Amino acid sequence: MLLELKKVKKYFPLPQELFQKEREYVRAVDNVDLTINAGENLGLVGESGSGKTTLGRIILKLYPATEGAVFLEGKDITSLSNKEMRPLRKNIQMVFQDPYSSLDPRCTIRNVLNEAFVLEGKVVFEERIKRMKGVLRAVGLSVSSLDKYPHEFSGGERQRIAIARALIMNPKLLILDEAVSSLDVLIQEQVIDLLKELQDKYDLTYLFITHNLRVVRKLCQKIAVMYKGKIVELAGTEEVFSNPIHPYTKKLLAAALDYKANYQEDEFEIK
Amino acid sequence: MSKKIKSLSQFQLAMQGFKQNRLAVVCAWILGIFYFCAIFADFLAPYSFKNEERNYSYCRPTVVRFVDEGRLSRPYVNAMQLTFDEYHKRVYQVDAQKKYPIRLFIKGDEYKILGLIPCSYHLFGVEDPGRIYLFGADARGRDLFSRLLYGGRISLSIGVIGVAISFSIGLLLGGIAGYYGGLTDEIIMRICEMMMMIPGFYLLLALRAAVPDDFNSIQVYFSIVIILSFIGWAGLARIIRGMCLSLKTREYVLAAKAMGVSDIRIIVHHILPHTLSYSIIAIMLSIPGYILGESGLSLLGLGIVDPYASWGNMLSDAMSVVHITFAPWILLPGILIFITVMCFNVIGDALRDCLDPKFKMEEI
Repeated sequence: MLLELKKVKKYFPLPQELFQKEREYVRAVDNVDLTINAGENLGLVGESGSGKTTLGRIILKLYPATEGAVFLEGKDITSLSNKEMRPLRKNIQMVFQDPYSSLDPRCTIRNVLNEAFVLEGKVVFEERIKRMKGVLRAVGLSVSSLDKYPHEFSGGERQRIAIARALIMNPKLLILDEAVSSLDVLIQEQVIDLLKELQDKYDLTYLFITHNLRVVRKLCQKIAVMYKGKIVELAGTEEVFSNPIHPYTKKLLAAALDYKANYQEDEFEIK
Repeated sequence: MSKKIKSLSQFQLAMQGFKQNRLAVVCAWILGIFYFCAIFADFLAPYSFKNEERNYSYCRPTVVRFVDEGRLSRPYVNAMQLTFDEYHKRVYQVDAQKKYPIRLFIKGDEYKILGLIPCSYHLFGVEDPGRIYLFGADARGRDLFSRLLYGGRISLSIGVIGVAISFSIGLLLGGIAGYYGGLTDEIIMRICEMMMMIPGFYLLLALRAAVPDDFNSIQVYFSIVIILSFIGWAGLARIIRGMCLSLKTREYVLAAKAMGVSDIRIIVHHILPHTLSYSIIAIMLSIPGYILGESGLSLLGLGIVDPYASWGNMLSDAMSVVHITFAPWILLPGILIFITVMCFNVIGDALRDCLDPKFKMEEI
C-alpha cells in the first residue's frame, strides 16, 4: 500500500459574524478514506468545488488536515513537522493545473530543476546536469531548453517541464491536479501518452485529479468520485463506466460522454 | 546554421523599453555624472571643503579668461581685490595686472584617494595666492564648487545607503509577514502602523534628539542614515506584505514547497523577486525623500555640521534674503537637490512604465 487516507477532514473556517455563536465551516474534504496501491492509478473525479484539489494538497501536506491521518508507505505523515516531512517530500510530487502559473517566470528551466537538489544537499555538478538532461529527454524536450525562460515555451511544453520537475525527485506517487485540463485536445493526447510511457520507465503511481472522464478511462485502473467533500463511489474504471451506482456518478457520466443514464430527474438533484 | 539566441528574462525585456525613454536616459546620465563627481570629489575639486580664505567672503564667481591683450592664450584668472564702496558694501575688483594661469594636475590640499592612498594632486587649480571660484565663494571664502562636490558625497550617498537599509528591512519583514500570516503578520503589521502613525519629520527630529550631540561628523552621518531608514521601512513592508499574500498562493510557490524547499528560500527566491518591479520603482521614488530628509535636518543645523559640507547645510547659508541678493550663487546646492530629485522621479516613472505591463495596457 503506497498511500492510505483515514477519515481525512479539511474544514475551512468562514469569517465569524458578530454575535454568532458557532463558527461556520466550509467542509472541503469530509471524512475521506482512500487507499492507493503501488502501480495502480487512481482517478479522482468530481465537479469543481468538490474538494478534490484540496484533497491532493492535503496529501502533499501543503495544507494541514483538520482531522484524520495520511499514511505514506505505512508511516503517518500528518503529525510530522515541516522539517521531518522534508526528506519524505520527494516521494510525492505534484503537477499543477495551470502550466502558466506553475513555473516561476523569473527562473530558467535550469533553476527550476535545480531546486530539487536543495533537498538532497550535496549533489555534484556533473550528476546534477546528467539528471536534468535525463528528465528533459524523458519528457521529450531538447536539452537546450535548460537555459530558457518559461515564457519561451508553449502550454504543452510547459506542462512537460512541470512533469520533469516532479520526475527529477524520483517520486513514487505523482499527483496530477487537472494536469491536462488546460491543454488543447491533441496536446492532451500527447501528454497522456507521455504519462503512460513514464509510468513504466520511472515506476510511478498516479493520482489523477480531474473532471475529465475521458482522460481517466485511458490512464486509471480505479475511479473515485467525489461530491461535496465526500467520496461517493469508488470502483474499477470499467465498472464505474458500465454500472454507475451513485446518482451523482450517473449524472457526471451523462454530462461527460452523452452517456444514456436511466435515472429520474427528481431522484437526485444537484443543489 | 543555428545561431545562438540568448534568452532574455522578462526583466531584461523591460529594460529594453527603458532605453527608449530618452528623458529618463538623460536623467540617468545626469545622475551618473553627479555620482561620479561625488566619488572623485577630492581630485576634481580644486580645494578641500575646509580650505577657507576670509578675504574672499562671498566672492563672486571667477571669470576664466582665454584672451590676453587681444591674443588667445592659455586660460587664466585675474586676481580679485576686495574694496568697499560708499555704502560700505563689499565690492570685488578685478586686478587685471595679476594673472594666474589655470594648471592641470596641480599640487594642492592633501587628501586620500578613496580614503586609502594619500595624494595631493587636483585636476585643475591656480597657484597661490590666486584663487579660483568657479561658482563663487561662501561666507568664509570657501570654494562653492569644491564644497558642492564634497557635499554631493553626503547628500547623494545618504539616499542610496538609507534606501538599501530600509528596503532590506521592509522587504524581509513584509515578506515574512505576508508569507506566514497569522500572529507573525499581526505583530509586524501593528509595529508598522505604529511607525507610520507619527508624522515623518517630527519622528525624524525626535530620533535626532535621542542621538548624543557629542558625536563626530562620521557618527552623525551614520546616525542620520539609520534614523532615515528606520522611518522608511514601514510603508514598504505593508505593501510587500499585501503582494506576498497573493504571491504565496501561486502554483510555483506550492510546487517549491512540495519539493521541500525551505520557507526562507521560497520567500527570497520565489516571492520577493516578483515584487521587484514594484520595489525598484518605489526605491527610485523614495531616494529623493532621503535626500530631502537629510537636507531638512542639515538645514536646521541638526544634520551634518560645518566645516563638513552637505547640500542641506550649505543651503542653510541661503536662509537669509540679504545673502541671496548679495550672493545668489549660494542657492546652487538647492538647485542641485532639485535636479537630483527630479532625475530620480523621472527615472522612477520611466521604470514604472516599462516594468508594469498593466499600466501600458491602459495607455493603448
